[in-house]
Amino acid sequence: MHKKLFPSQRPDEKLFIVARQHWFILFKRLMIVFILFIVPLIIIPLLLNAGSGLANNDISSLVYYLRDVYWTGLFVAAFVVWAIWYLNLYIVSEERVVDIDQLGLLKQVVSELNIETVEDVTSETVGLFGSFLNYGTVHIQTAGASERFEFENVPDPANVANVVLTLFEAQNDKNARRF
Amino acid sequence: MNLTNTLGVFGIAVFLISAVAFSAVTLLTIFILIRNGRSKATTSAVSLAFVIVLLLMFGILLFKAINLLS
Repeated sequence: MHKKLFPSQRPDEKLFIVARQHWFILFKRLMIVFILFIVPLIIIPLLLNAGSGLANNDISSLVYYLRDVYWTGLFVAAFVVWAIWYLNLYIVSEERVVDIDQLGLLKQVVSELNIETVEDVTSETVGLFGSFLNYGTVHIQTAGASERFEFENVPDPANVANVVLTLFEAQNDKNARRF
Repeated sequence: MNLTNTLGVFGIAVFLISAVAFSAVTLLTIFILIRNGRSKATTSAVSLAFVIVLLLMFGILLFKAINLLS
């Protein structure tokens, strides 16, 4: 059975884009975890050498044991980082634009806007990596709302903007034919 | 109680606390992944792989904690 991606999804609703943030964003976050992983490899030998008078076998065993506990914690943190990245979704269907933001493990914000209310779509690519790897932010301005809807760090932002505009035009044509 | 025993007890205590904390975070993450995730196959495969490695790490930690005692 088809699983709903967002609460108001109709069973026959056609999805045109289901995207996550670019893999490089996940890579950057995992690199922070990796740097934290390396830290004890540098600090522990320095500490044990500095206090060589104190460091007997028992103390050094305990220090290495605590390092392993710390590494296990980092491994769990890496899993959480991946899960949060995986659960952040940007969806464009024939009727609406949906932004599912997983803000931590226990907070999820689902924002939707009707594609008919779209007024202006802007794609933005910033920075060296953004330009090389072709990821960026798509801003969607809606009628009446001062806040802009944002798809952050999506792959190929120009294509996403193009799809939203094409669907907006198609929806407008459909409405014009109806009346 | 000599130093080795004290360190060993401390090691076991650290192991128990960290095992409970890490398991709780892992179970919560897997629950959220299964509830909110799109593909059951991907979430199950990644969760299973993660749990296997985590159990292996817990095994190593327990072994080291017991070694601290002796």
